Amino acid sequence: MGSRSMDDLPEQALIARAIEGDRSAYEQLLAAATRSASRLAFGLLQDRSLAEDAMQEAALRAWRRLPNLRAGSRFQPWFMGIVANQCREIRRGHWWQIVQLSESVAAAGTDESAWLEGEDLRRAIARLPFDQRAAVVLHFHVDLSVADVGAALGISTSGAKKRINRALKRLRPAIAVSEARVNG
Amino acid sequence: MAEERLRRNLDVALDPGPDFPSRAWLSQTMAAIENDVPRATRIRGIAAARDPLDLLWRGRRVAAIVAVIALAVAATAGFLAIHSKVGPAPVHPPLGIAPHDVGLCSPTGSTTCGFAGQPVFVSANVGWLTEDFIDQGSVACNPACPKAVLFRTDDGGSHWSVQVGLPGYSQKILASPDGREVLVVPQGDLGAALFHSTDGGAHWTAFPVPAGLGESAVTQCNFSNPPCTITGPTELIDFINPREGWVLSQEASFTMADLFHTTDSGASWSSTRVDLRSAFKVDPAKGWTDSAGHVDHTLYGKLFFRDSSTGWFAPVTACVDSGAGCGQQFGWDLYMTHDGGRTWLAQSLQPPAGTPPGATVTIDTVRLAANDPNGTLALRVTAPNATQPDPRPYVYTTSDGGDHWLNPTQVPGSSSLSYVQLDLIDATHWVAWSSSGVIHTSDGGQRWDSLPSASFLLNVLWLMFADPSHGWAYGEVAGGFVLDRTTDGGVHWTRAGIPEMGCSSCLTTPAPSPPPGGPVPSQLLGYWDLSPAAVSSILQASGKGTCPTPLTAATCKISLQLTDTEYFWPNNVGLSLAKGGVVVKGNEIDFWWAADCGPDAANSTGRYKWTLAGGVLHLTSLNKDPCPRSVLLANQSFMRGS
Repeated sequence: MGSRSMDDLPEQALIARAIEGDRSAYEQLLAAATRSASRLAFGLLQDRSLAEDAMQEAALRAWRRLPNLRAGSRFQPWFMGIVANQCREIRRGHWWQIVQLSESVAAAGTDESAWLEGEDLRRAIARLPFDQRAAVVLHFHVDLSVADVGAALGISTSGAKKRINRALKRLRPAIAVSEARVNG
Repeated sequence: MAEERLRRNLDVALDPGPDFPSRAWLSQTMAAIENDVPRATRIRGIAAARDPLDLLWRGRRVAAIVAVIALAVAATAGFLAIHSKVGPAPVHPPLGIAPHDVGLCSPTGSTTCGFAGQPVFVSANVGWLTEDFIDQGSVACNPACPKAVLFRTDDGGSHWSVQVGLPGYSQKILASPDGREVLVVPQGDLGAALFHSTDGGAHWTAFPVPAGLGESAVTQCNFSNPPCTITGPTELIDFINPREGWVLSQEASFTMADLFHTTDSGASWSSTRVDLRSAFKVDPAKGWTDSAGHVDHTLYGKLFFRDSSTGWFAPVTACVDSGAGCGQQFGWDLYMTHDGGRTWLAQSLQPPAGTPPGATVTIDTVRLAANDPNGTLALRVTAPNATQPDPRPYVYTTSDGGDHWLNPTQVPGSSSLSYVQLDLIDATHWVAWSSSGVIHTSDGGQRWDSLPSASFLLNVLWLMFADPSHGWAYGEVAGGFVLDRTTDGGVHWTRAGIPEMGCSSCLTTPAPSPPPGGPVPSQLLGYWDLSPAAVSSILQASGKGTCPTPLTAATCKISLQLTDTEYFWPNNVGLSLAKGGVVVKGNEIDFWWAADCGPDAANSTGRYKWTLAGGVLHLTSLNKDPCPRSVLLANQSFMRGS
C-alpha cells in the first residue's frame, strides 16, 4: 500500500482541502483549469494582457469564494463562470479599446497567416453580445458540455442551448467565410 | 460536422499564440493569493510589461474617451428619442407588420433547426407552441425566414401544423378556452410585436408593443470610468388572456415609468404614470452599483396580473456582485394593486424558517386564477454561504386571493439538483424537474413522489400540465429532441409528435453554374503578389488605413492565389476578401461568384484579359466587374509570389 500523493487526490478532496486553506490544493485545481480558463479569457477578450489579468482576478475571487462552491460541484464550470464574469467586467471598462491588427499579431507572437485567416470569425465573435459570446466560446472552444455551460453562466441547460444557437445564428456569415479561408 | 468545423476554425481564430498564459502566471497568481494584495499592485499582463511607460495605452485611452463621449451622447439622444415617444395615453394603430409567409422557408430537410418553447394547451387536445428557427452550423438561412414559427395541434401533440412565422424569439402564448382567440406575446425581444388571431390561428394581426419595453436596460459607468451604455431585454409584460395585458415601460428619467394597459390585444393602449420611488420604493435614477463601479439604472422586476384589477410587481431591489456577476436580487417585498395599477400596496413575504441572514431571493412566478382565492407564488432563496445547497426553491400559498402569502414549502432538492424548475398546475398540484429527474406533489408539497417513467428523457427542458392529468414534456434523447405526453399525471408517457422545422431546403442556395471556360492553365497557378505600393494605394483608397512602414511585401501584402477553379486573397493587412470561382478561355480569365457578389454567374462575373511577360501577370478589365474585387484586379500587375 503506497501512500497517495497530492496529485492523486480526486477533485472533491482537493476542493475540501482548498476550502480549509490549503493553497497547494488550490494551486492544483487552478493548474488543471488553466488551459480552459486561458482559452475562455482570450476568446472573450482577444487580448493576452487583459486575459491574463482577468484570469488572475478570477483566481483570486475563486479563492475567496471557494466556500460558496456547492458540495459535490465541480471546480471547473464554477471557475469558468467567474472567469467569464471577470472578462465581462474588464470588457466593460475597456470596451473602447482599439487594437490594431498588426499589434495583435505581434503580441500574440503567432503565425501571421493563420491569425489573419481567422480575422472574420474573430471579429464576428467580438461583435456577439457578451452572454452569447461566452456561451459559444465555452461550448465550442473550451469544450464544455451544454450543461456545464449552463452551470458556468448560471442559467439552465435549455437556456444555454438557446444562447448557443442564437450565437450560431449571428455567427453564420462569418463561419462561412472563415471556413472558406481556413479550409480553403 | 459543422460543429467540428467551427471548433477547428475557433482554434485558429482564437489562438493566443505560444506561452499563454505566461509560464510565470500560475506562480505569480499563487503569490498574489498568498499575499492577497490589492489588484493594482499585482502583476499586469505581458503587453504592459513590454510598454512600461504605458504611453501607447494612454494615447489610445485619450482617443477612446473622445470617441466614447461622442458615442454616449448619441446613445443618450437615441434613448431619449425612444422614450420621448411615450405619451400619457397613446393609441397605436396596427403595425404594418405582416406575419411571415412560412411557406417561403418551409422545409423538408432533415436537419432539425427549430427549438421548441413551452406550449399552451387549452384542452387535452388543442394547443400551440413556438419553435425558434435557428441556423445550424454554417448552413445559411434565408434572411426572409422568420425567427420563430407558431404551431398548433388538435390531437394532443401527435401532429402539428404551421400557423404563422414570427419576427421574434421567446414567445408566450395565451389562448381562449375555446381555442378561437390566440395571442403571441414577445418577451425580451427588441422590436417584436403582438400577434393576435380570432379564428384559431387562420388569420393574424400584428400590433406593436409600447415603447420602452425591452429597451430600458441602461447601464452607465460612474465618472471614474468611461461612460457606457448597454441595452438589453426586460420582461415587464404580462397578459392574463389573449385580450388584456400590461406593459411597464421605464421613462428616460429612470425614476418614472408608464404602466400601459390594453383590453384589445394591443390594438390600443391606455397608460398610467408610475413614480417608482413612491410606488415600489426603488429609485433607478440612483441606480445600483456593481463591483466595477458601473451604475445600472434599469428597472428590473417581474410583473404579474391575476385579473383586470389585481396584480403584483416584484422589483429588483439590489444588484450585488455575487462573484458570478451583478446579480438581480429581489427583496422580500412585493407590491400589490387592486385598481389595475393606479395604486400599489407593499406586501412583505416572511422568509422560510431557517433562512440565514443575508440570504437573497429571486421571485419566479405568481399563479392565481381569476376566480379562485387559492394560488401559489414560487421563489428561490440563495444562502450567503455554503451552509446549504442553493438556490432553494420554495412555494408560498394564498387562500385569500393573494392578500397574504403563507406556508413557504421547500421543493425537495439535493446538491445534484442544480436548477429546479416548477410548473404550478394549480394550488396543490406542482411538478418540479431538473437534470436529476422529475417529482410531483398533489397535496401542496406535503408529499413528493418521483415520476420515474419520465426518465426516458436524458435532459428535460420543460414540462407543462394543462390539468393534473394531462401533461407534456420536451427533452433530449440520443439523437435529438422529443415531445412526450401523459394523460395520467405523469405515471405513463407516450411519444408525441414534435414539429420539426428542417432548415436545409430553406437554406440551400441553388448550385451555381460557372460561365463557359476551362481550368486555370498551369503557368498561372499559384500566388501572385500585388506590389506593396499598389496595396498601400488600395488601402488608402478604400479607407482601410495605411500600410505599416517600411513598405515591404512582409508588412503590406495582398496576393491573388489561383487554383484550377478558384481564387483566394491571402493578405496580411487584415482585409476581408472573399474567395470565388475562376475559369479561363484563351487570354480571357473570368472571376465569378464570391460572398460579396452571389453565386449567379450572369451577375457576378468579372472578365479580364491576362498577359504574362517577364514573370509579371497583368490583368486588363474587359467588362464592368459587378463585384468589388475589381479594385484588386483591374489594370493591376502581379509579381510571382510564394
